[in-house]
Amino acid sequence: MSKTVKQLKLLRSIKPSKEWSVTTRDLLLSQIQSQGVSQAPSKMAGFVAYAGDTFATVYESTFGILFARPLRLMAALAVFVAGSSSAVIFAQGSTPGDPLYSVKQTKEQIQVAFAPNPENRAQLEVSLVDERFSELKVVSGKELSQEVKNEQTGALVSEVAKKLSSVTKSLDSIKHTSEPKKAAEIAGYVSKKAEEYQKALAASTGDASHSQKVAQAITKIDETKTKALEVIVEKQDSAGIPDEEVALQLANTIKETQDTVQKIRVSIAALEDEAQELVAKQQEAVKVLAEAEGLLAKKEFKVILFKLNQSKGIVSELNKKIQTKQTETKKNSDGQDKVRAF
Amino acid sequence: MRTHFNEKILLYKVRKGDAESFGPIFDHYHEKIYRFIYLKVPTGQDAEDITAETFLKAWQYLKEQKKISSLQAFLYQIARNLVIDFYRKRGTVIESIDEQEIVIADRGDLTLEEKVMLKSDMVQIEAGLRQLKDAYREVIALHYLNELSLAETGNVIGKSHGATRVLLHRGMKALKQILAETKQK
Repeated sequence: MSKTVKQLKLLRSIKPSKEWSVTTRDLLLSQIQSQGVSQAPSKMAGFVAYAGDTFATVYESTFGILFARPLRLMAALAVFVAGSSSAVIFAQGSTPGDPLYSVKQTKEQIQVAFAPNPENRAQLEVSLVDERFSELKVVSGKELSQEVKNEQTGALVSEVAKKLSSVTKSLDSIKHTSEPKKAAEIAGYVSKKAEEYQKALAASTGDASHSQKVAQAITKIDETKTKALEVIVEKQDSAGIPDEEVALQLANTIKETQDTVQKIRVSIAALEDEAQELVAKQQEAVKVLAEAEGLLAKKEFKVILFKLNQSKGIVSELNKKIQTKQTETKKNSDGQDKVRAF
Repeated sequence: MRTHFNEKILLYKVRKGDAESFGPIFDHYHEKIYRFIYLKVPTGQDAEDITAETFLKAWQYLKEQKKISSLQAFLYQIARNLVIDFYRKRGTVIESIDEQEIVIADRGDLTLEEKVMLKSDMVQIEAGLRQLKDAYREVIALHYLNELSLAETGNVIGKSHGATRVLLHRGMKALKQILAETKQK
């Protein structure tokens, strides 16, 4: 047998941790078994699982010490505590860097995969975004080195962006398949939550090292809000949503986008080259938004939405070009600083 | 206690909706699927996530009563597709691969020095594997690490017995070259 083959065979010892194997097996089988059983409690290793509102009360009274944070669950969701492994229970309060965090993530992954319909999936995914924000608060309060804190914060912000992409996809499914009133209700809920997330991220004074991730997460929030608006406009007639309500949401979004476009004007002014081309694009976005605003009185909501998407596309393109230019400028000035050092 | 992994019976039961029967399937395959995925993705965490998803997708497919010719090949194919999706979602930029903590199984027969050398060998061979192109790494992992026969390996990657043997030969040649170059440095 050649030396290489002998070395390759050493890698047969690569395997997941026993803990992960046991808890993933438990989670999978529990979720598989609970599929199709709507509200039946399942008894697992001495713990009783309930759906909906009773869940938090039972849990906190029994395991108050373990769960410092209240568990928030939508009444409509049937969430089962999956797995007989105590690791799953202990993992609930974990944050990045904790040994059981991967168990928590696996549990969430399985819960989303087994969500019975796009509506439940969207709501579950939003609750997971809430969880990421809770974890951000916990991490910021921990006694860790700045480097570790930045790393964990950056990872969480990336996860927020990732989860929001999933929410946007679920909303797209809802737009095409769901009952109109339910679809509009969920879209409204998601839109409201997205605004909260936007405020929370905008207020965050994180380290510059993950400012790009924060910017990406804010972009994802914006995409989610736009998708929620699309669902609302699409389902407006069949769900019986008053024109005034839709007009108000669109007017708010137009205003927000106009503010963003104005801020971009300031960033463009800071760039010396290509400013003319970028200014022209920015002016185009201003014009499209003005056209959208003009259509509010005529209640042409679908056309307004189209123009909003058009302006957001221009904003996204401008932001990318500005960021690229700023990165290049920074690299050049860093390089010049290094030369000066000699 | 089941002493023999009877795949056909388990699959039959799973298709009939017997969730318990999925447990032995997970027990039998999850380490190999994990190992296969581990060498294709940057971190152990990524490998765990994709492994869990592989079994989720397998269950979802099987409970729809869809027939498969080989469970083993089916699981590997799901894993391969999920790894492709993983990189597609990230874009083409692959982040730098973390240094993996290779855990030496508790070998009471080895001295400390021997354990250190063993770990060094493992780190070296893993690094060499990761430098190979995916087609070579895949066929080597399936055949040498996960002990699939050439026919079974061909079944997973969708190639004939002969083509698989050629690919394996080329892969091993490329790996030996990488290891030789690493030694020279």
